[in-house]
Amino acid sequence: MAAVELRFSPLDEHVRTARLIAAAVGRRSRVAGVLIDEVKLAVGEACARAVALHRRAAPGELVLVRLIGDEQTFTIEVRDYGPTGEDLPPTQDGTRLSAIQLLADDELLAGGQPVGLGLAIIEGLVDRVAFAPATDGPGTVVTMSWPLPVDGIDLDNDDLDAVDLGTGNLSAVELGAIEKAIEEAVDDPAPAGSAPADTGPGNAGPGEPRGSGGDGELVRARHDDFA
Amino acid sequence: MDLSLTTRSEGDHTIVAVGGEIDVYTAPKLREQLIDLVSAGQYHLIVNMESVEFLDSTGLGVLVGGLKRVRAHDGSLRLVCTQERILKIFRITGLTKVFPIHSSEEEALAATD
Repeated sequence: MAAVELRFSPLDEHVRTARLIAAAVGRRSRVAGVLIDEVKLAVGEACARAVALHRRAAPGELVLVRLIGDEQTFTIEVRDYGPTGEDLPPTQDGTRLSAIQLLADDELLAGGQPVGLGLAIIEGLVDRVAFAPATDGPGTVVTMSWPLPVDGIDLDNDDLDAVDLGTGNLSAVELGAIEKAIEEAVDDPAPAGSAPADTGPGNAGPGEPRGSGGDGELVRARHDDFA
Repeated sequence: MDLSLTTRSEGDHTIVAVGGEIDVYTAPKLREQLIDLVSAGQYHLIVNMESVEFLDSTGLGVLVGGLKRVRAHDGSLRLVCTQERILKIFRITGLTKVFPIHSSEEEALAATD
């Protein structure tokens, strides 16, 4: 099993960073090329939801994304530290909202987020998805997984050529895209009031490592190979 | 890849050509563009999404918000899109029932339904 872990400040621009990293790691984990768009969309929706929750209830906490590949499955966990499951309906099947409800939502005119629409997209896209309360504090873990092609069977994965599976390295193109995205996100001035000034170690969440203070905003990725 | 927006008039329609990624970070730009057009009295909008590379729920929300605005003035908002990966998102969310989706600007301009 191999895993990549990403933590990021709850800023909209970092959602794209998470998408790019998820796509790169997905390819690296042999997710079929035709599914990479779904991976990007699903992880983007889960991260956007987490960012919105954090901004409201936990602005100093970092959103946690874990990308895990094993022999059969590629799994993404998005863990937020917001109010646990308050935007989740009691059942986890069926449509979360209808287009009619969406049209009736005046929040959209005020620039609000279409609550529930992102979850509807995740459920529509991903066959294996679970929403569960975090076990180590407040928040929710959204777990999504995709099957990997069996050895010797190529599920029309044209993108595999771009990844050096032999050494486990990301291609230069992918690394370049990720680095550029992180650079762009970090270089952009943070919106007023969004810089977490309280990211010092004294304010660390329960049992969770935190970023160093004073950076204003933060993206950290860690690559662990357990193999 | 950022969001690109260009607008032009065709009769009483305004065509907004969108390129790049419409996501939680860039969607506010599209929202402002749609609001500006409606404020300027442009109530018949065609959003050409053929160059859109990524669309998320925030982008969908902005389009629905735009539709609500033009409808308040008896206007219309039509989409031009033939990209399967984008159309899929409209289908999943049931929004194909809400937006008229056309395969070309010409078709959208000619539509009267």
